[in-house]
Amino acid sequence: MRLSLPAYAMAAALVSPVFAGDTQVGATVTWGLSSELTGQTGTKRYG
Amino acid sequence: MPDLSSQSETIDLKGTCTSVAADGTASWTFTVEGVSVETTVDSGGKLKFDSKKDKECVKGLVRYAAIKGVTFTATVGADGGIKSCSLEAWPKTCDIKIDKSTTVKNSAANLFHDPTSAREWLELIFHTGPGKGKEWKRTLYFGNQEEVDMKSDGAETVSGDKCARIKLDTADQPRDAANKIPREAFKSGKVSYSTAAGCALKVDIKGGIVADKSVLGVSSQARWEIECLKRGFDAEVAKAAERAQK
Repeated sequence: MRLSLPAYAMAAALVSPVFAGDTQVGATVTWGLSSELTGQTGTKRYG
Repeated sequence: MPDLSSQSETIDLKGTCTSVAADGTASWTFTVEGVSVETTVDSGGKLKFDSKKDKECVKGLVRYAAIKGVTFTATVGADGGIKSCSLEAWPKTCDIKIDKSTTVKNSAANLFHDPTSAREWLELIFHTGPGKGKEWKRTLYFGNQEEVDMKSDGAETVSGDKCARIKLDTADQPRDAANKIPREAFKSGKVSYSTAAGCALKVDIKGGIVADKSVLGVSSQARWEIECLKRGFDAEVAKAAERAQK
C-alpha cells in the first residue's frame, strides 16, 4: 500500500516517540484527577 | 480486628498553555474547577464531600473544600519535567460553613490523607511522556522519587488527540540502594500522552504506598487515574501570546 508522505510521517511519529514539547499555545485540557487509597486498618480506626 | 477502608479524592483541573519558548519550555495556568472526597470503612461509616453539591463540610475536610477555585501556574520543560510551580502547597482553610456533625464523622475526616499535591499531579500529567527510543528510564515523583522503566506501547486516539501509549513499572532496585523500595510498593501503569497538547490525557497507575500517605494502616494500595474530561483550544490565549512575541 502506498502512503502519502504526511500520513507516513504521522505514523512514524506515533511509532517512534519523541520528546514531549510540541505543545500548542492556547491548548486547553480539563483533567479528572483521582486517587484511591485502600488499606487494611488495625492500628488506626474511627468510631 | 483489622478492616478494609478506602479513601478517594477527585479533582477537576483545567489547564491552558499560555506560551511556549524556543527551547520547548511551556507555561501553563491551572484552575481547580471541582473537588470531591469519599471514605468508606467496612465496619460501617461513609463520609463524602462534593464541592459541586455541598455547601458545608466537617472540619477535617475543609482542607479539601479549600482547593476549589485555586489557580496557579507552572513551567514545563520540553522533556515534560516540572521546572517550576507557583503553588507550593494547597491552602488549608476557606470560609465554608462547618458541619458540626457526629464525633464519628469528624474522626473519619481527620483520618483522611492530605490532598495530593499539585506538583505530584503535574508530574503525572506532564512527566510521563515519551522518551528517546522505545525504552527509557525516568525518575517520577509519587510522594517519593522513584525510578521507573518506561516503554512505548503503540498509539491510540483520546479526546480527538493522537496519543502515544506508554507502559511504566518501578525499576528493579539495586541491592545496595540507600532507600530501597520494597517489592510490595512497586508501581505499574499505563499512560496515553498527547504530543499535540504536550500532556497525558489518560493515566492509570497502581501500586503500594510506603510514604506518609499510608495513614490507613500498615498495608495500603494506591491508584492514580487521570482522564481527559474536555479538550479544547483558547484562540484568545493564542492571539495574546502572538501579540506578546511581536
